[in-house]
Amino acid sequence: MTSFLPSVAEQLLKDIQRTYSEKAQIPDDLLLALSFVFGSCTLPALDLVDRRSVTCFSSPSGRKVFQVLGGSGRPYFCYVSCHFCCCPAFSFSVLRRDESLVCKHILAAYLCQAMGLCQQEQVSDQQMTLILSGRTEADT
Amino acid sequence: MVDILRFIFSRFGPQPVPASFTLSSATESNVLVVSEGSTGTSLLFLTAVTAAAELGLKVIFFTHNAFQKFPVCLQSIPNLNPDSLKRIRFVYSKTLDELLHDVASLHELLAKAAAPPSLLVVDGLERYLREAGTRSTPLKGDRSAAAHLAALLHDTATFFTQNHAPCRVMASFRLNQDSRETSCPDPLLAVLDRYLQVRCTLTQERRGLPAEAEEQAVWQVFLSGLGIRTGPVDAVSHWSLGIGPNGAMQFSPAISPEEHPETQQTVSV
Repeated sequence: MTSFLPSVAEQLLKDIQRTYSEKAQIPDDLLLALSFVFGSCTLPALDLVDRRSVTCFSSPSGRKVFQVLGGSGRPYFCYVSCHFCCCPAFSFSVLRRDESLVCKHILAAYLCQAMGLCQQEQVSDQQMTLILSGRTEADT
Repeated sequence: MVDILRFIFSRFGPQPVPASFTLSSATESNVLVVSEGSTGTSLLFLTAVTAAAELGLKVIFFTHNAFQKFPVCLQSIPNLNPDSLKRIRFVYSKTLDELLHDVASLHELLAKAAAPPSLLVVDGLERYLREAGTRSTPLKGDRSAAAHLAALLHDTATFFTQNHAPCRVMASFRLNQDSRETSCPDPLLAVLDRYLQVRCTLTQERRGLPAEAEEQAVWQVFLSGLGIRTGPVDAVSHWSLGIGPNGAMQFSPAISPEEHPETQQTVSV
């Protein structure tokens, strides 16, 4: 997913990864930089991280996808190689207004990856197909 | 994907394909072919058949319906034989939901020990997306639907590239009447550009001749976009395309306006 970020954001995530692996916390200067680069979705994203809301689903084929439980408990799915989320904020402030790099769900997935806080879960290939296509088992 | 396009443009051009031509192993940018009319479909079809016949690639071609008539004259394609056509699998997805599911399920091929695809071709994105914009879907609105589809194509190609062999995406988007006339770009194109980072624009030259007099329609082909980074700096990115009455396509590197005394009048998008 990182190839979709400007290099300053990529570097910042690397710094967070290194610092968190050493001190198990994110220092204030990196938090400030995070807020500067990612803007208003930073705090809500950190809240999702604190609540361990990000799960990486894998299936036998090797396919992976992130699930992020939103504040309301609704699951949002984000791809691992590029930025997409079906939440209204991504549609409005990223796609329509082009005023944000990502939404809080995608940023939470980045942060959990950097901090090693992703939950891991196995699903079948068929379930993975439903998730990737944006449907749920109830739709089939 | 730019490497395959350049192969096509020289394969069906005046000069032979350079002996040194090799497919790029780096993850290549995906291509969106934007055109008026059905020429985009013809280029997609020519690319799919040539990639299967000459480059031995496994191609999955998504489209709405079976072709009633081949958009390109097959006789004009060298080395074509029934076996090479078997490398192309046509998938007829009727709706956006079907297409999303068909693309999302490609990873299940691996469990059936099927060879992973090297080229994903999607014809007529605009039809799938305009349908999404007219009815309420969970993604509420065509920008999100466009991002979902293009991101899924990108993520699927990346999955195969990182786990098996390079896999590329090529899709076509047909401009509607308004965006041609008002020269105001369709908002979906800006969304698609995020994920399909090379734009191949086809514009027809209108030379004011009566239709019957024009034995060969002439088009201008431009490659542009963030994804244009492979190949030498002076690599050609502008071609002329002649399409004969039988659908045969002939590319030639375009002469820049300074070199061409008579400046053609072209319809720009």
